[in-house]
Amino acid sequence: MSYWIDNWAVWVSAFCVLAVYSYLIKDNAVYRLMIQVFIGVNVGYTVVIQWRDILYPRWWLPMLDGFDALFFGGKGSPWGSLWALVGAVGLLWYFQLSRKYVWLSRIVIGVMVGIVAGITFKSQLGQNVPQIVDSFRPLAPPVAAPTPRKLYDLPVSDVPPAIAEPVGYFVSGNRLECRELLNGVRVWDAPLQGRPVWGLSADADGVAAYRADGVTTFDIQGRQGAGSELIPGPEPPQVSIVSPTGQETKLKLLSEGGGIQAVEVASRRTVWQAEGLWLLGAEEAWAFAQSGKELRVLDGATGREEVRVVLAASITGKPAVLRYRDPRLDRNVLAVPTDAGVAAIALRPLPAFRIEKGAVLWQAPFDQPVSSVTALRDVLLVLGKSRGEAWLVPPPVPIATGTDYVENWVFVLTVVSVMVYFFFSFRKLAPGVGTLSKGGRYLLMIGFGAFFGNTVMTRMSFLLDRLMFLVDEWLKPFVQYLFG
Amino acid sequence: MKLLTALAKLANVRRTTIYAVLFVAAGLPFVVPIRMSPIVWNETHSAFELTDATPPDKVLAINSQWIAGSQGENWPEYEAIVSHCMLKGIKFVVFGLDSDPLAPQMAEAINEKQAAQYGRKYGVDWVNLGLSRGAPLTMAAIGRNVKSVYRTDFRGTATDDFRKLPLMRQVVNAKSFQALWVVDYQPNLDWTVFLDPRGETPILFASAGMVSTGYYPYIASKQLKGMLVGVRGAAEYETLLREKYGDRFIDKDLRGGKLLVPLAFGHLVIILFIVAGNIGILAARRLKKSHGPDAARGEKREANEEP
Repeated sequence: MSYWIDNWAVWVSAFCVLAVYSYLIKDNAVYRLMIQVFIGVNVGYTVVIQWRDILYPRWWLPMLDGFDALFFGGKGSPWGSLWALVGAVGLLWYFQLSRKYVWLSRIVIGVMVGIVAGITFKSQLGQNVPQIVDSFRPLAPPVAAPTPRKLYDLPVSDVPPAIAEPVGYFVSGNRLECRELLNGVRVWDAPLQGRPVWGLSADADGVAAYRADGVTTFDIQGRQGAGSELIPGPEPPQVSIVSPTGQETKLKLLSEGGGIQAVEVASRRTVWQAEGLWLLGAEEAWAFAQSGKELRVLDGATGREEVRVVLAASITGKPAVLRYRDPRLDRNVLAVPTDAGVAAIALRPLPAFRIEKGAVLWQAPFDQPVSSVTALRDVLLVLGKSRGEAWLVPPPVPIATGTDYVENWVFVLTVVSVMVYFFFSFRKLAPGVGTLSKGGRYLLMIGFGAFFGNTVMTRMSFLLDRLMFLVDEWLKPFVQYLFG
Repeated sequence: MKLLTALAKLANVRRTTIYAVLFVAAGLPFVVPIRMSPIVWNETHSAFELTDATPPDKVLAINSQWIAGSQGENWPEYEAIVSHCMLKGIKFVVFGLDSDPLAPQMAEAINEKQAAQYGRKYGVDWVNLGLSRGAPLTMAAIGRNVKSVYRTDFRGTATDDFRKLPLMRQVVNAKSFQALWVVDYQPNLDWTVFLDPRGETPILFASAGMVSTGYYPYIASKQLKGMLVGVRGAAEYETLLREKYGDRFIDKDLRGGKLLVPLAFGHLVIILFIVAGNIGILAARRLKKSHGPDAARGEKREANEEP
């Protein structure tokens, strides 16, 4: 008995499904009854839900609260009473039923048509302009790789610049300079007294310049602060490792006797060592090292080598991890300063671009050895000995294979021939144009075939969904009930 | 002659016979479980990578619009996406916009089932924001301020009540989203225009196979960053989850992999009948040519007798 109490709804559902499918044998009264029941139930349910979930909480209640506040000093906002106007304007639609006052309904129709036309215009432009742009596809391999574009000049800096958006700080000799990073305009500069600066750090409040004999601070307006404690020299680079549980461990990287030693900051325990490498720096969980012209990227947690690349030029400084807006690229590309310019290297495999880990994505020349690179989203600050530049770094271009070019040729031919088919649809055509038009017709048919194939897949899926219900939820439990 | 006559009959197979064979072929894998691994298409791979790369400070937004009418394809898709979120701990908000009022309920049933399997908690790991109206202007409003559109969640809790819904603290606008999934029979392309005018929020579609052909140009132009195509897409997504997470991924009751084999069987039957029908027509033509129109007319009469 408990089976029937638990499963009566399944039986009703199964009956409805089978009643609808009975049409496959032939049209019958049960099928038509089911269709009418479904339409009725759906309309009734939708009306109730529209009132309960939409009109009542979002229109009726705020309106009542508004009137309550307006006339009886209730808690709500009196502006809520304006919702009554929405109802009044909406009711104008019903003047369609009156010949005399039909003009009133045209007011609201006009407003609606205006809004929809405006939205549609924006929508169509937004959807179709990128489509038109994408129609221009490469039909042969490119002769040059994408290279960064220069945005503006930068001053030189004795130490890597410090960034605190929207400004960056540069130090050269005994002058500290603040530049706007959007366009490179100088905001202020200030003199620095004492021994050379060995490092800069910046935040939203200002900048600190570290010297062997003290720290000088400036606020964001360029006013000199009181300074602070003495910091004798730069701290060794650190890597930060976050475990899956969210626990953060910091490792200090030390250049020791022609090798690298990673020491846990908290416990001073040596975690890993690497021989025969020169430490370039560290960022996030990566450690960067070099061996001659060879760049090595090590996993900061284990010291395991992740990337090894031989570059054409000598490495001249600490690489920087590039920040892209595209999450598939963000923090996955490394910019390496060399004596010939900057090289970009894939830190991880980029499957969407068919790029392997360690691949050199581009090499951009600079007229002097690059002393430092600093990444700021997809802008790279490149500094040499006597000048610097800000570059907009390009995203890598997906590596195209032979089949990609075949696809592009098919695409372009299809676009052209289908356009010819529609534009020149009169009888007599020049021989070449006629053939192209005919080809366009066949290609359209192939496209429609693809649509039809997917249509079959969808219909099959819907049938399978119901079959699954009948087998898994109706038949199997029933057989189990009958035979145990 | 005998062979041609027999073959010509293939052009006139009864409709009920075709349906019966289709039902048996497609229903068989439900009784005898068979599994197969699909080849993962690029659009599924891109969508998976993007979802999987969700950092802890971002959430995944899912615009779930589907109801019973398209659950044959949208259910497996939504289930695969949500199981990924629950498995990896990707936080997500799900909402309906101009959809059928049933849509949030359909989504929530799957959310709760998956949450129970992976031990996730409502308000912390996901929030169902319910339903709103007024696309495409509301899409732009969501992009600017999510809470201005969804003042309460599906269960009636205020979306700025961070004690009950701590996840909503990090849901502000389109910048809070790693990506927006739109799960619908025919997802609205206006999302690519209105949600984020700068185009920095990736849009992913999970659509019915029937309409998917029309979306491929938008993937090529990068307006869409990925797509799941019906049951096939869901099964591919499950394959990627299985490859990446192994036994941690609980795929026992997921519909993508379960429906893929019956779907393949169904397609096979349809293809066989198309081939058989064409052979039948060719045989009937040959018969007409060699034995006169009477022989073929006989076949035609039989066909007309069908219901």
